[in-house]
Amino acid sequence: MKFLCSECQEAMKLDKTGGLEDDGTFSVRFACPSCDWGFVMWTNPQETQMVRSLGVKIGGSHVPPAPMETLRAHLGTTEGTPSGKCPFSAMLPED
Amino acid sequence: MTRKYKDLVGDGGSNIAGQVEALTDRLSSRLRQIKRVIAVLSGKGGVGKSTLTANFAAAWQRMGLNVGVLDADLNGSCMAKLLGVRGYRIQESEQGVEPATSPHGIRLMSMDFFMPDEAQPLIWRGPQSHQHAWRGMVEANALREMLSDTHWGRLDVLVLDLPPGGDRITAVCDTVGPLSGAVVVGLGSEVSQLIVGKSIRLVRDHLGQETFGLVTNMRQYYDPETNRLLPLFDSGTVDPIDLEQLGDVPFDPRMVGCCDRGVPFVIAHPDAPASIEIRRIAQLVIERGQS
Repeated sequence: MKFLCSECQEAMKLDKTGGLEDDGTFSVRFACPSCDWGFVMWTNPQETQMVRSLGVKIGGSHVPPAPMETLRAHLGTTEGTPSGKCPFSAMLPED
Repeated sequence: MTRKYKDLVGDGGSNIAGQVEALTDRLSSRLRQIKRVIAVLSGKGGVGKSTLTANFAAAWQRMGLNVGVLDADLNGSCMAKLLGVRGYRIQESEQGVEPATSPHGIRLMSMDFFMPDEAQPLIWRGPQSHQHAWRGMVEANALREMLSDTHWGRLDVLVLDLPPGGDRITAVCDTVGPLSGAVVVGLGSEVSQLIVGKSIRLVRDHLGQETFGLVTNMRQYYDPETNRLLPLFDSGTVDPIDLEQLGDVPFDPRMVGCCDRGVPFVIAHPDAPASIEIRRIAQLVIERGQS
């Protein structure tokens, strides 16, 4: 999915990821690099889960995922998984 | 004129595509250490795929090959029991997650090893409503991780024990890429032929995968009392399936006990007709995989 600033015809850039809500919704702020107009995209719980299912982190990651990180996060197994406490944390980039 | 999707370079910083590519590279790197990836599939349930997988794996191991098995039946895994490694808990090393090693030297990765209690059904965390929107994706990704993050070591053969249904066949082929080949298992009944035929057309004609041939399982049974092979079903004559017949493995009542004890039948009863046929098919598949 890509976003376009309809005024500037510039591709919107990911500005920051917001926190995950208790209901499984998730926010990402995008901004236009030319006019700085921005918007926040909220995913519904199913959309959040679909992204999470890919085993990727929105906004990128400098740390490779731990072995079977996504599988264990989805099972709720915390053995050897640093991000295992939150069921959605596997999709958040490390700060 | 509004710019279109293809006009927008990159993904705006979300880096999803880059991470997916990195995960694909990780899988490719692992698969490079494996000489052959062989899928055992049917499309039909209850035809004995898992029992045959365990026994093919044991036969190949006895031929001197290094063998691994991936139990791709996430929701109905039984390979840990069939290979005698029930209760194994996952351990990690610098190379990844260590597979279980059976008493006969076969390496195994199974969803059972992640479950706190093997009697519990597989329940993924996530929104419990509208699971159809994400469950298949979670399971495809779980299979990718079980392939790429398991420290298989150097294998001559990795056997994939696939669950019934065409959806998982498609997901596995999409994840692994070209297989060395598929062994298709059927029963020889009309109902079996109907469903197995669909799987063959899916794998061979639609997905373009190599198929080694068809193994007909349990068409006959071996009676140890009389030392004879007798028909197990009164199924009459059925139309032949459009795939070369690799072999015909008779049921042997002693197989049930072997499955329950976690000892492959070919090891427990090497001289039984079923074991002789399984070893012959195993040899044939390896020869075809080399050509």
